[in-house]
Amino acid sequence: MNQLPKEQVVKSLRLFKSRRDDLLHEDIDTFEPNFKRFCDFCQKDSLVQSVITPLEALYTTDVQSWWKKIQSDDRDEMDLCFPEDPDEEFLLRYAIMADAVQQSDAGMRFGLALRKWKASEWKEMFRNLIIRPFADELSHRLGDVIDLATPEERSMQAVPLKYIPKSNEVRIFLSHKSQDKPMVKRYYQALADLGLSPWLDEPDMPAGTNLERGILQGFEESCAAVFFITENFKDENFLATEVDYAVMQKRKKGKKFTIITLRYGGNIPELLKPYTWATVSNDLEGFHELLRALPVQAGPIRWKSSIVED
Amino acid sequence: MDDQPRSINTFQFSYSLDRKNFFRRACPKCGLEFKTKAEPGEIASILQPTFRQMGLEIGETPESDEDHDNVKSCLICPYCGEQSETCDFLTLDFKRYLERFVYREVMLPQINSMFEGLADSIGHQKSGGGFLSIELSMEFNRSINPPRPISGPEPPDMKIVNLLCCNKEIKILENWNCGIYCPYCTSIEVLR
Repeated sequence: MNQLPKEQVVKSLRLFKSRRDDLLHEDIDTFEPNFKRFCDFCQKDSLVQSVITPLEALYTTDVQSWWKKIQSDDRDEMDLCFPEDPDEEFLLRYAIMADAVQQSDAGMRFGLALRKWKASEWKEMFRNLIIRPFADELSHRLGDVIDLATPEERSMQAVPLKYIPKSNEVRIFLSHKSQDKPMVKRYYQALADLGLSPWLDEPDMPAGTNLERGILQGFEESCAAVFFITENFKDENFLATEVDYAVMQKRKKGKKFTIITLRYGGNIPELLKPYTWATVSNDLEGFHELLRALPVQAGPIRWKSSIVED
Repeated sequence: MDDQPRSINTFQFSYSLDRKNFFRRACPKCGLEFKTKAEPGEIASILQPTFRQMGLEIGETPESDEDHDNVKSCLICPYCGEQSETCDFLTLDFKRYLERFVYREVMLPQINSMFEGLADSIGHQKSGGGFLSIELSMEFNRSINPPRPISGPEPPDMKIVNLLCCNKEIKILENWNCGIYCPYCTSIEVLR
């Protein structure tokens, strides 16, 4: 089944319910105009027709023959002479209504067949026994059609303000030995691709930046410090300073700062042992551990702009 | 203690949800519509105010106590922050459906039985004597019931919003892109 625009479906359903409820529940004195409006709507509305048309292709209805049966003297009083097949019954009701709109005495004929002599009574009987079951069945069928034919609803996240960090507090400081830079750059790129905000000395410290001040600034803006411990790692002064800075940030920021150590080999410095660490055998494993330990998470799934923009 | 015998009627009430089981609501203040997930224990609390207006009380419902406990008694409009009873957040369409249902299924049978009782008690009576005489005759013809109201179908409109604060889903208007209030905990949320 082809998909229908949601706006069209909503509009059709709104009109359908309005016409249906006017016909079923307004004063019986307004029956004729409301009946005509409802039938006109059903004949013209594309959503309603998407229910009716496939059935019309499958079944033929003989309204005149039904009129003969319903008016016949030997009819069982309880028998409304509808076919057993629910699709055929539904279609016949629709055809009876379309026929009744054309013939002003149709409702009265139906009433007389049911021995209701007063106009208000036969109108009420026609409304209860012919129209209401049709409207109920059509409501169900329309519900099925719109569920199949409308696109799935989009989903968004509503995030409380307290969940949203400032842009200058969510960087991820990547601390490493210079020999490990190719590996750390892969982490940097992967984090950036996920929409996170990694910090690495080379791209984030423009030439001429005071080294100590630049690194301290990097830590101040970060929510995590990641230490890559490989066989190349020796607890030399430069990294010891970064470990000190990380511990300082942890004391200052509490849960909003995480110290993560990914151990590819070598020994974990004593200062880092109280914090999160994992022994990893490859980058994928390391990246998984890193994402698990971070205090921030990657964003919701979206189409890339290059896919949706012309 | 009320020693009056109470008449108990049992009836079934159903209303339409969309394909993801969301129930349409409208803010009593700003009038904007949104949807919340239908809770099983909610039907009684939705019906209760309308029944109370008619001096009736809803008794037991098939839902478990746990279902009732899960139902919030208050809601907050996601758009304007209006806080009110859950049963105040009903659309005009739903209120009409509810009124028609209650009239047909609860009030009309009572009216009918009242008039039938009256007709039985009066029947055909004559009283006379002196200069004045009165003849009372009463016959009650039960009228044809109005059609049973139909709820829905409910279109699958609006966009789904996952509320991170309460781990629940609601639906809001498609073109609403500002922040929202969580209908359950009042926290202000940013859409992302």
